[in-house]
Amino acid sequence: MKPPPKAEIDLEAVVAKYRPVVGFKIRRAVGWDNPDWEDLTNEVLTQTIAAVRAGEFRGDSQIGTFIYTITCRRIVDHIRGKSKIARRFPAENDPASSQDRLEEHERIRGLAAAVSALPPKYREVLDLYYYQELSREETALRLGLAPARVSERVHYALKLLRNQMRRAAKSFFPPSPD
Amino acid sequence: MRRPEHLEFERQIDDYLLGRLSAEEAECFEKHYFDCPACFQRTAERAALLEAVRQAGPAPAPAVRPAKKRSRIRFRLAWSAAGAAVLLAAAVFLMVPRTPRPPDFPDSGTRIIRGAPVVLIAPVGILEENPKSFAWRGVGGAAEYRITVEGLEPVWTAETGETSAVIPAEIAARFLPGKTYSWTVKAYAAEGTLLAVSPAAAFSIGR
Repeated sequence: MKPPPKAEIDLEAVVAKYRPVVGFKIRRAVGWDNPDWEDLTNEVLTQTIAAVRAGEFRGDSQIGTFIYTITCRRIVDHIRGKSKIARRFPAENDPASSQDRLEEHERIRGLAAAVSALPPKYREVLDLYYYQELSREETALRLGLAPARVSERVHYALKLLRNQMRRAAKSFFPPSPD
Repeated sequence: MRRPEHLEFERQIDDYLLGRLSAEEAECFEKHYFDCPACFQRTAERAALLEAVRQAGPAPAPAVRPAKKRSRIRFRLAWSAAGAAVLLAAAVFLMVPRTPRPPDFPDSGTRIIRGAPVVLIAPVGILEENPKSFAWRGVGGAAEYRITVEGLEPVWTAETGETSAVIPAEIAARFLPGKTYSWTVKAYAAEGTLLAVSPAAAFSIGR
């Protein structure tokens, strides 16, 4: 008798939950603005569904780890150029993805404006730590602070930005798990 | 309270985003956020912040910091030496190059590229008189440079094809003694593409 299908896994929920995670990992690997990322993400999710239905996911690891393995394999294939991307149609002609890209650019632009408007002591720490990419210790040395204070200021800057965006009724950050 | 693995993860977020983790560490990190929605959200939020900071560009040069701790020196005879030390510290602070490495900068408002920055030559540090001109080292392929000078508010902007610019006398007269000003230069190609940006340099009039 055929083993019970792993269909107890709600594949629709899995796809909804992991689409942003897989997309994030792929964009970091192939380039943030590489238009291939959306098609690669779709491919990984499609492969995941097929693999689960074929009983390849045995439940001895978490589904996230299973999807991570598929994602990494697909990225390696893409980078080595071994497989072509199954495009539904050219990305530039896809109005939905164009809209998403526009919204993302707008979101980041709004956040950048909020960063520029931060009080100088927070703007300065973000500049040294994220823009100039100094280490936490180097940043601390430059500002005459203890290293732990650098992390505190970064966290407080994040809090200020969240509050500012909330007041502006805009969601520039993903929902906070706090 | 967050579990230890989440706290360890939290400590690694910036190193991951800035490419400072080893391949093994990055793999562990990624496997964790694939299984942990809360940690993924934190990572995505921090990535958005990093992108926004890069788009926002370099921060304006900070004002000269008063030497708070030095002011505690109680011996009268030490005051003149302390004053000299403060001035020296301020001069060194202002003259320290703010370019430990070529910065990222947006080339079209969205994409981030890395390249050689425009290097600012003068004026930098404490000046005896108001500056009359600004000079910088250019970058290959640049057809136009845009200079911006600002204090608490913008003072002057100009475009030029040269690697120096003479500031109009009536504008130069607006610089006030004791105030700190910063300036930056952006380089553009002939078709208007942003090629490079300088870090901010600061100067003040010391008289």
